[in-house]
Amino acid sequence: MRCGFIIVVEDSQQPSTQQIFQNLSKPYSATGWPSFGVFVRNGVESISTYKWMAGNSGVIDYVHAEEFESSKISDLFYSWWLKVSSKTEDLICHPSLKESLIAVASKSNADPQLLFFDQASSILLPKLNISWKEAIAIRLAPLVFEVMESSPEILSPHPAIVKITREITGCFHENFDIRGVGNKDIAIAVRTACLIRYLSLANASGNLESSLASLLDNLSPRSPAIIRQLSSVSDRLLNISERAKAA
Amino acid sequence: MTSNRHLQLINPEEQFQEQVWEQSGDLIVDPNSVKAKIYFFLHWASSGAAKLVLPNGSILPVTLSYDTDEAEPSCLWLELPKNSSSGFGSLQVATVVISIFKATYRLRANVVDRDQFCLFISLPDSLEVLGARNFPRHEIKAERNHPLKRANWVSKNGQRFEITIESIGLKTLNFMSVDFQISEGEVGEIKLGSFTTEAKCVKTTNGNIICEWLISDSEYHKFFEIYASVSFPKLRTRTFYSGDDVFALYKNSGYFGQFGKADAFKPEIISTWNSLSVGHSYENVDYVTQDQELKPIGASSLTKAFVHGKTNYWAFHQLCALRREEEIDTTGLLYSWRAEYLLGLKEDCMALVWYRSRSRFIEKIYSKLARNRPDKIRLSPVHLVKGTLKVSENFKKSKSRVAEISFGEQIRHCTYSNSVVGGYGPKWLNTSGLLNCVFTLSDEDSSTLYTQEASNLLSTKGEGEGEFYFCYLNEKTDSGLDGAVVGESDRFCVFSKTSLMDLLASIEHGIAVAKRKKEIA
Repeated sequence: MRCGFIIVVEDSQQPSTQQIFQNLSKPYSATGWPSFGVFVRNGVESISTYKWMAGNSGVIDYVHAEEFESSKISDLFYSWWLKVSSKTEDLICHPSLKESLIAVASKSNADPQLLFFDQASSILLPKLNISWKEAIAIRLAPLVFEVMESSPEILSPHPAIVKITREITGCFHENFDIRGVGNKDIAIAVRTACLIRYLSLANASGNLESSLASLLDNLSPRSPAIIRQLSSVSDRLLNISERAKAA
Repeated sequence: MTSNRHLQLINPEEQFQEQVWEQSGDLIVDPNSVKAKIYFFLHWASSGAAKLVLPNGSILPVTLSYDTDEAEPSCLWLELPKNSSSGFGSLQVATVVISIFKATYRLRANVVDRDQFCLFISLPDSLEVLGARNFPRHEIKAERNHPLKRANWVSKNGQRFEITIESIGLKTLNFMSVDFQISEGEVGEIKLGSFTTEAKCVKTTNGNIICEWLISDSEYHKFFEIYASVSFPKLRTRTFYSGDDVFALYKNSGYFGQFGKADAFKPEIISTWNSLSVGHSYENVDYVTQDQELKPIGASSLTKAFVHGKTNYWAFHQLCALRREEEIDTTGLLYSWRAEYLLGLKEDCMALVWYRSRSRFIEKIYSKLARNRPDKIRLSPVHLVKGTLKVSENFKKSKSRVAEISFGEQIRHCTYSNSVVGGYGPKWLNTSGLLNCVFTLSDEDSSTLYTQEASNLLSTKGEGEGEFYFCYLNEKTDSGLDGAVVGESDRFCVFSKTSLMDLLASIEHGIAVAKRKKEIA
């Protein structure tokens, strides 16, 4: 369950660079995951390669081999990484696909519960040991959970979405016990998603403040990291809730 | 989804090579540097050690960690071992010494919370560098029941006292004496197992005595055997095993595969090994690593192989290891004992090694280190050309200096002229013939000079022809060697003695990286 990243060197021989990239991408696309590539040239740029790249968003750069000798190689790889992570999120859940899922879940883009979940995720996730792929999964989880309840067949063409959110939505089904939020036997991404869901349900029922107070009761340096970090953002969460109510 | 992942703590820009090279006494106050070093320790905590220094000076081994649920630690945890009977007392400020890859730091931090077995401390504002890359010292713990735990001190007037060894180092010995006094400067004899040598007391504190070894060069290899039995318990001298066993090890590891059929020369090779070992040799040392069942699983050699002026050049060579993923640590010993052997020598020597860049592990421990320490380590990409040299009929011996080195019953000849250095014999000293070699210490090589030095060596030996490796910095087609072929080794590193502690740190880090990769895979 991984994205592919393929570096192909142009050598003017058969099979072509494009064919090599397409062939190596197949095992990834078969599992629902995108793959990305960088083409490396030894000589002058090829117009046909540029034309092909224009129609294939998977190839993110076309560089001269000398760039690998440069001291800026780490910057180059970092720029590729940024492109890969943002494109992966778009490809796994394109905005238009997200809109369709929202419609199927009979929600609106402005659904307060979804909005709170998304905003709380943005605040809390950077504080915790959560990878970019897990962050995508957490943001998608409430929507996927709703769609799986109502029309699971809608998700069958999107195995990657189901795979990355499976563990989280599983815990949503089991009505995760919020007292287990510090239990390290459960992945931090799953616990975080369940905590944010718990808070968004509390927000929807008007009990956010008391729920936060209960979670943060007896807070100390010994408390689980997720609770300590929640404490550092609790005022912002209450603000979001207040502003939403005022709007 | 993963838990306990903390790889992201390390900034790619803050890798090992940038982390551990400060000098003793440096105080690190830059918040980013302090953070980077703490994170570096946390990243490699299983390869490091942390000790809490209590106000009364006693030391508690602790585990330094943090809550891995956090993207970055907001506080640190100091945990006592589960079976510990000690407590933290009422500490308000914790002083902690952390060691990682031969670098040691002291930090002080406020205690923000506590329970019975754990102190929660804030992140420190500064780090003090302590004893950076001092000589290695190895503790002999009481519970190990080590045969060397008890030894004897014999004073100049012949009185014999039992002592309890605390730790053994390449330069010093630390022991406890209960029923007698030794004054600083006093010289006596230490009887350590079957080894006896003189030592001089350099420091005494409440019955804890530090003595400096007074070991002659001729005794050094015997001392190192004792030292290795403590510091590298899985290491044995090559003579511990039969020649057949060691030959089988080299063969099964694929070592001979690179150098043609060795089977035909097996009796000669084993006979050479036996003759090199007669009476032990300070100049040629071979060790073998063993597994749990005491079977040999790796071997490596160290040889005083070349001479240039007053400087001896020792070669790291002939390393082989069976592929055993579970024995990664043991493989590391094959690299580290050689550096430690040289560190303990009185002479200010140099070390050199030829190796293949194909191995990422070796590239990491040698090449990456060399690129970061260009002042102490010379790294050259090379072409090793092997072939037979016939001494020309018109050859006249040059004014090159020739030196002899004896190994057991065997003699090796070395020569040098300006920056060109060569050595020859005994045959099978290195089974690939690599040490029959001529190379340059400058940035220029020359086939003519190489041929001259090699001819010199052959003439000194009274031989008309011989097989040589010529080590070129640039690709050469005119080596003058018959049947010339290019060898697989394409890197050549020359280490100053002062870089060998850095090399030990690099080996330790390389092994930790290999183990981490295995865990991830």
